[in-house]
Amino acid sequence: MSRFIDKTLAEIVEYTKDAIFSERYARRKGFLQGIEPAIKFISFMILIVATIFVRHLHTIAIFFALSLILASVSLIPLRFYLPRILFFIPLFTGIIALPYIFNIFQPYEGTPLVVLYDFHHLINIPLLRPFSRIEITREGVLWASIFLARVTTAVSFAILLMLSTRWSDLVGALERLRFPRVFTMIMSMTYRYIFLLLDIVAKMLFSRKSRTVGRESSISSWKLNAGIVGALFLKSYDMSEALYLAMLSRGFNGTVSSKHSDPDNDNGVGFKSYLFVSVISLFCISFLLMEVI
Amino acid sequence: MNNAIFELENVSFRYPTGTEALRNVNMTIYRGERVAILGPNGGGKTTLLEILDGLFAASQGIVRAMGLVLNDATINSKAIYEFRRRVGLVFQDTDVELFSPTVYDDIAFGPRHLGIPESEIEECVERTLNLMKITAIKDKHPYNLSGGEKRKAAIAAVLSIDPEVLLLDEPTADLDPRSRVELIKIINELNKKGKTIIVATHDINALSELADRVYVLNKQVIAEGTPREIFNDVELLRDNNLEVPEVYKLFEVLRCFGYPCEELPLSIDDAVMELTKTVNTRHIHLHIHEHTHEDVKRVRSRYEHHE
Repeated sequence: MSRFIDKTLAEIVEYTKDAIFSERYARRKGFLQGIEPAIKFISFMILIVATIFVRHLHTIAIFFALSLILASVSLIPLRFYLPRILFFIPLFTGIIALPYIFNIFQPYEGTPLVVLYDFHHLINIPLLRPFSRIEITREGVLWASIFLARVTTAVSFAILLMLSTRWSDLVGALERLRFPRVFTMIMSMTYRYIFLLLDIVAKMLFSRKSRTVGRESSISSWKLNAGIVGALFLKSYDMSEALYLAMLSRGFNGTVSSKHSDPDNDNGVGFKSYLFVSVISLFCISFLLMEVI
Repeated sequence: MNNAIFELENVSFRYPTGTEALRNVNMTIYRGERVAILGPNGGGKTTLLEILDGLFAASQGIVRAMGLVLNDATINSKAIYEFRRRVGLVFQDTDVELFSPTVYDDIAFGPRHLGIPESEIEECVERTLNLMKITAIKDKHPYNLSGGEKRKAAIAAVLSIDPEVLLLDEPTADLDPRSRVELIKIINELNKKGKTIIVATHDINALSELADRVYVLNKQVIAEGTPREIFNDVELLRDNNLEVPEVYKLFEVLRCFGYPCEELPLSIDDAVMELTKTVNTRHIHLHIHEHTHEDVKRVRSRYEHHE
């Protein structure tokens, strides 16, 4: 049983460490770290939108290569960066994309690549197109791989933005871009309390581990886990109440207003940042145009 | 006409769950005072501070604060915002107080919501950072702060709105000795600048350094007086699960050994003063008689907390 606790603990420690490490990368003196956060945010949004619109696999590959180049010039080690983008995201996206390689889930008849089973007569199942064979189609595979590549590349840009920017700078950038203050405040609070709640979970699990002296059946262990989940919920609920009172006490009146001041970056937006966003826009526009022509 | 800031008349408070937190509390706090609310866990200290800050209205009784009567109607009106600017409450749980991405943002939170122009906010934050001597941690995420740093940042977050009254809930709990001493000094400096200080605590060793007047609160006001008056009332302390400072006990023991002590010291500073005075004026001769150990035993039993 204690494997569950150990694993959870390890995950928590790992996650926290990860987050701290990524803050460390955000503090490095690399290329992206020197770009003004708001401009960087816009540039990455352009990149992500462009990634969604390009249609050819090789163009997506070029975009992906760009993300790797940007990561290396920003002093983010690829062995840290790549596992983050090449493991979980493709895995889950792959599961989502998988059915689409089969003809039965496709809206049109495709070119069969592999025939898995032939029924020799037409089968009607509600919600599906009538079919007589189950096959993997060429169009399906192409579509699924483009989808997978697209998601992976878009996520790689998003992760790169996160890795090269401190969370507080990012929130500040959003505020300068006139995102609603309620939104940015919730974002920053979420970030703040994720760590705290993780800490609380880790402490609860440690305390339980220190008191677990015998073998524990998995049923009773799950009952205890339910207790931990419940305690955490109550704790966070209590904290949110107290937090609200603390905000009230300091002048909060229900409306979040006022702009964010950025003590670090008030020396204006540098030439480098403008150049970066221009180059990125040009890059995206030219590739999109190339595909149209 | 008088300079009372807070006047509480027969104030009671019940949580929505029905639990009684305060019963018939009568209390007057004057401008510029240092008042401590002393009491056992669950004695209603925090609830009292929350009522004084206008966060909750009393279930019964009258709370007059700075010319305002704090009841359900006023704490839901616009007037309460101005009131809360003048009264700052530092919560015991610093994780609740520090909710922004950086310490800087937390200190700027109050001023931003008061509509102070951004240029002045920066100045105000810098001033508060300097006052609390925490300029070095201004860009840090609250998660990465030590307990002492968190406490100072939390106080700074409240001080930035420049309140006239500072309500502190267990400010010295969870602090190491140095941070504790620093904090006590800072609180006293704030008091000298004219701020009224109300501290809820059970840190009896800090009491004489933090307060001129003490209310003992255990759901209701049990006693009121100077720290010395409170500590001299042994029955009161025992009945309410409270203690006297160790140095006070030591001098009581010394008295059993024949040390002529008129006023038992409440702090080390007191003790040094007392010793200097006695050594200068008379000849001290400590001794052991048959009754000495009996006396010591009596002193000890007086401070024992039984179940």
